[in-house]
Amino acid sequence: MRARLLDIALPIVSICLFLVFWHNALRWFAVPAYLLPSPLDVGKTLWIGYVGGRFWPHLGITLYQMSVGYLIGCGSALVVGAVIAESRILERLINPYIVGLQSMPKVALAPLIIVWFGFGAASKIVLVALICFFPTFVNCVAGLRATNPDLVDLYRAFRASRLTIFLNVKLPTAAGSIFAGLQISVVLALIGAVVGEFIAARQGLGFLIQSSTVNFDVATMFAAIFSLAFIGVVATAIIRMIEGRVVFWEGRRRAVTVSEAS
Amino acid sequence: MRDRTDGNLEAGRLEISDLVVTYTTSRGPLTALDRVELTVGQGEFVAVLGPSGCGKSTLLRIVSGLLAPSAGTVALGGQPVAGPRGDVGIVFQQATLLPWKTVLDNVLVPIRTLGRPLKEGRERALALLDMVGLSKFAKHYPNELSGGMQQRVGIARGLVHDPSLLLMDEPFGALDAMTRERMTFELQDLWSKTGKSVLFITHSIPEAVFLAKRVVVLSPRPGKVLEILDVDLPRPRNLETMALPAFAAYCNHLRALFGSLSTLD
Repeated sequence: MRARLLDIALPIVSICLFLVFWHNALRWFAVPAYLLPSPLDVGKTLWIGYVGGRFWPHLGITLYQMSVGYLIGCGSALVVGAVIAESRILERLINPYIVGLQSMPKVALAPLIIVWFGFGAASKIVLVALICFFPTFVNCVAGLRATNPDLVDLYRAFRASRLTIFLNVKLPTAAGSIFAGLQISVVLALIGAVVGEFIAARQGLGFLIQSSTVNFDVATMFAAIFSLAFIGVVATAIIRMIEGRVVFWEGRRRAVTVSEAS
Repeated sequence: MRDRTDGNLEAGRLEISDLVVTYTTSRGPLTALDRVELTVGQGEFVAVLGPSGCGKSTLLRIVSGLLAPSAGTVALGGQPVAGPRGDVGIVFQQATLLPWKTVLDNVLVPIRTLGRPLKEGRERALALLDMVGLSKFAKHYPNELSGGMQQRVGIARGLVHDPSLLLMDEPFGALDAMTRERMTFELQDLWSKTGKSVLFITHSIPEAVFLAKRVVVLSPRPGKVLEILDVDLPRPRNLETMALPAFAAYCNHLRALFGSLSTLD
């Protein structure tokens, strides 16, 4: 119980100390406000932005692009991953493209994607999906391949179909690994959306940052950056929560090590 | 628990004759088993003893129908084994349980996969868990159990669908020495209660002599039957059995046999 309290209290104390230091350091080192705003200014901008409603459309569009792209990218990663892990022939057919795309920095494709899909949400969704695809895909294939061959033999000895083996043995085995991929992808999804907005957009938190540079509105930039960080933290927490529910047997193991450590 | 399906009194009789298994590898054909002759009578406990790389696991895959022989015949209950038939139980070296299923659901895997009636299956599963001393753990998950307990679950799973033959591939190989010895006694007990035919693969000489009616000794690659040793020791065997001069004589005989090969690592 005391450990739990410290778990919550210590990070809060640390953040408060940091904000106090930030606020005072500006005066100590005479940093001009157009380079680094005080945390109070950022707070005020956040307050005005969200209570006044100016930030909501930007937050909404970034969230929308990020989540739709994430679902498309990770969804197709799971399908393609399953196909490749199950069929050696299809693996050989698809593999050259996978390797080629994987070694290419996806961000380099962003301008091209904008040209093809326009300035609207579609281009960002495509970029996000592309960036999200690989971590989930690679982890999905690795997870499915890590299935214990004895278990597959056992099911085969009972005349189980390939589908039965896939659903009952391989997929649950891979679940932990798939979630590791989904975790990485969710962070990349946010990066993808912001990069897309940097290049060409009329809305979104990335656009907000970009447009604030024109009039040196650093407070708004910081407000947008904090909003992005907040989205990242919440999205990661959501994935982790779902993971804990789905892959409960691995959580159990983790829970044991935590209680042993304390 | 002593039950036999189909009224076939010889359903658990395994006859292997002239079995040859050859794998194609990148370096050419590799013979894993060479003209193996082996019979397990209904209700008999037969141990296959051999050094690593003698094709013991290949034998298991052949008998369970997962692998087709290159030559020779394998028949279980008078019927040739032409593919997986679902009437053998398999126990692996590792318990290989599904960590996302409870102990009871793990034991029920053969029942569900074979599409057998679940109600009777569950009763049987609970009875078997009781026999291996785990009735209290039916609702637990495998990773809450010790290695020995997990392997007991594996044995219950191997028996739940009332197989004609139980195949055990070094089932106690991954356990610590003390647990291993206790499990050996328990297995004898379970065998005498269920009356199953058992093909028990091991590389432990005392384990083979203690449990088996017959010990089939395989040579290293390619696996050939070197000798079939009838173990004539009274049952039930216990700690005193292990102290008998006859027990030591059997073990020494087998050790000498492997010693002459000088390949036992």
